[in-house]
Amino acid sequence: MLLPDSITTTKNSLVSFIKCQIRFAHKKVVSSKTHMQDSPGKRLGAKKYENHQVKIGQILYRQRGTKWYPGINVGIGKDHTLFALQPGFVKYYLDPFHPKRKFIGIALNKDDKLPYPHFEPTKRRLGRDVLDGKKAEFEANYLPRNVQILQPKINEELNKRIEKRNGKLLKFKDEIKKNFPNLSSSLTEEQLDLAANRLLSIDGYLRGGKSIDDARFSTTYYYIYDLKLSNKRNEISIDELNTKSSNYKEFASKIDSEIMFAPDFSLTKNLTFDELSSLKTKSFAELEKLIPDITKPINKKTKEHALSIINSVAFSLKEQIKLKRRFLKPTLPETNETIGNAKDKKVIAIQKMNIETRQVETIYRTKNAFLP
Amino acid sequence: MSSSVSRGIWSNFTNRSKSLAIKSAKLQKAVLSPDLPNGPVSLKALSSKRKYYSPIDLDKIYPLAYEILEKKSEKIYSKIEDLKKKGSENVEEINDLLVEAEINNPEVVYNSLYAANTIDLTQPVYRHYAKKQWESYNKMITMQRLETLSIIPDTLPTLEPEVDVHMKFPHNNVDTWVEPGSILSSNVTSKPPIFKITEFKESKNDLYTILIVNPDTPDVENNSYTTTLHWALKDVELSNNDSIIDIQKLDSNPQYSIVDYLPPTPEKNLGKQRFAVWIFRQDGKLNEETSKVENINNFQIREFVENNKLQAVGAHAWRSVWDLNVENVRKEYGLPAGRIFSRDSF
Repeated sequence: MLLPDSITTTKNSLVSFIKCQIRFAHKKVVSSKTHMQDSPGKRLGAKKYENHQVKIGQILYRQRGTKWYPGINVGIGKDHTLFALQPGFVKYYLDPFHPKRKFIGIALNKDDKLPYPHFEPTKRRLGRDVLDGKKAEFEANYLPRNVQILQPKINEELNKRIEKRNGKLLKFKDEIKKNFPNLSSSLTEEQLDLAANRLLSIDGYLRGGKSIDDARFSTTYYYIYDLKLSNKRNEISIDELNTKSSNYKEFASKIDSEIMFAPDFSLTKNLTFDELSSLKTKSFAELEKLIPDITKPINKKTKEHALSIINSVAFSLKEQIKLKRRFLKPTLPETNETIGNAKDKKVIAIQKMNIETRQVETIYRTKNAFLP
Repeated sequence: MSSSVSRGIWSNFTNRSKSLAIKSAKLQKAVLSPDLPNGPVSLKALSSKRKYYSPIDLDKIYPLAYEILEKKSEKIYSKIEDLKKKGSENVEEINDLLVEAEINNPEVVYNSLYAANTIDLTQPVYRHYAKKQWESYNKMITMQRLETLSIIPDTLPTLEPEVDVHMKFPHNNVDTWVEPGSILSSNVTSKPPIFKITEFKESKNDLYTILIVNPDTPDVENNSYTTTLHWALKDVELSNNDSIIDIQKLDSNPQYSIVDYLPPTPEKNLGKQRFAVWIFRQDGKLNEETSKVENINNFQIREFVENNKLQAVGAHAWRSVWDLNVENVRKEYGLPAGRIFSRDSF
């Protein structure tokens, strides 16, 4: 009886097998697009809310992009994290100057409203202590490393400058003694120092491009300015200041009436404006007399004489250059007198482009075509 | 052909200022010649001059164009004459017409472009060109520095600039104008600065007030900052042709000074301090009472401006920071030694 039973069950299962689809073991080939793409939460959002009290550096808001902008006393990090730059109270606010933005700011007082009024001075916190004792001493002596390294070099340059200045002062003193005996005999050693200092100052202004009058005025003005400062320091009284400044003005006019700077910054006898202009016309007339025709060759002696006239006190550096260009041409124009032949001895051959024929020509110039 | 294109009003200087012409005779001849023989005067070398060819038919076109412009100018001048005959006192209208009459004069254009330092600012047309020049650069730089450094609104609410302000310090022998906002050493700023204030409107003996304030003076008690007045001048007389406030002017006018110059002496570890220079135009002479400044510390610049009815017309600024020379400047001016602040803020 067992057998037929088993036969029926196999038969049944066979029937069911034929009826149903058969499933074999299989593997899913394609995964879902969004499978395994989630990440843990980044804990973004507000860390401090309206009116929360914060210290410097505390984080106020973490965000992706600038959902909120840094407002007053708030900084922004590289991942757009907003943080406090001043201790105070957090304020979330809108600014009419940037209607599309929301801001987080720090108000210094709890009752303040942000943004602060546009035309009012900004409220600011000093946030620093006055140091005393050892800390102050340390801080006073502290210098950044780059300054410390530079310090010896700076001192060296400073000493060089002082030495140069002293050298110049000595030179001026010697020159006054040597070239202006009348003046130097009337001066005490102290006054001589003062005169040398004055000349040094004027020399500096002149080299900087000021006119002689401006240079003299500036020197006097700043000397008196220094006197006024010493009055401010209570070193001299107001009466002393007045007498000293009037004395200096007198002294200055005495020096200025004697000494002037030549265009090459050497000391010469002072000339008034009228004297200078008359000397100028006289020298110019002399020059024209010496070299009446600038196309004619001149000898060495004439050249030296002309140079001595040009380089006198009468002309400024600019005028000197102009006169030299006019009267002492390095090469004279081509005239019969200054053009030679190829056969001549002692001629100088010059290759020159002829514009009209567009050819290079050789021109023979005699020696007197050039400035001796 | 005549060597000059000009035969009309622009070569007639009986009623026009001589400053409307080019000073150098050579340059003038070159600008007014119809065809530029030998090229512009700027060509120095003989070979360059020989190589120069003036543009085709320039000798016909340039005199024609010049004539048209000159005739227009003549018409405008006759209009001005009529206005003057009628007894019109509308100075602005006349000045506008004067600008219009000269704006296309080649000599004026040349002077405004290439001789801008020596132009005669009493002439409306030169003021017009100078203003254009200022608006294209210096005005923008000044406003940008004032805004980015928060000098407005930390000192005064805002500024509608009307004048060009130049400033320099007499620290060395070379004169250089300071760019607004630059950081200057205490040595540079130890003596009072020199100003050049260029007005672009007609100005004859206008009075000005000048204030230098530092809004970054530490106020340790209140853990805040106050404003210190560093220099104050009043009733400074300036005109179009006399726009410099230098030592000569200060020396001959000691009455200008309200407060003597106090040099910047920033204390250690306080960072950069801003020094704002404000130029105000006055209605008339300042009142002795209201213009008096008793305490330069905690100076209320807004109150001062309101009390004296001052109109801010220009500004300049520089910044100072503690350096090794500050103590020397303090000693020079008899100031106490500077305090030392903590390096970090708390």
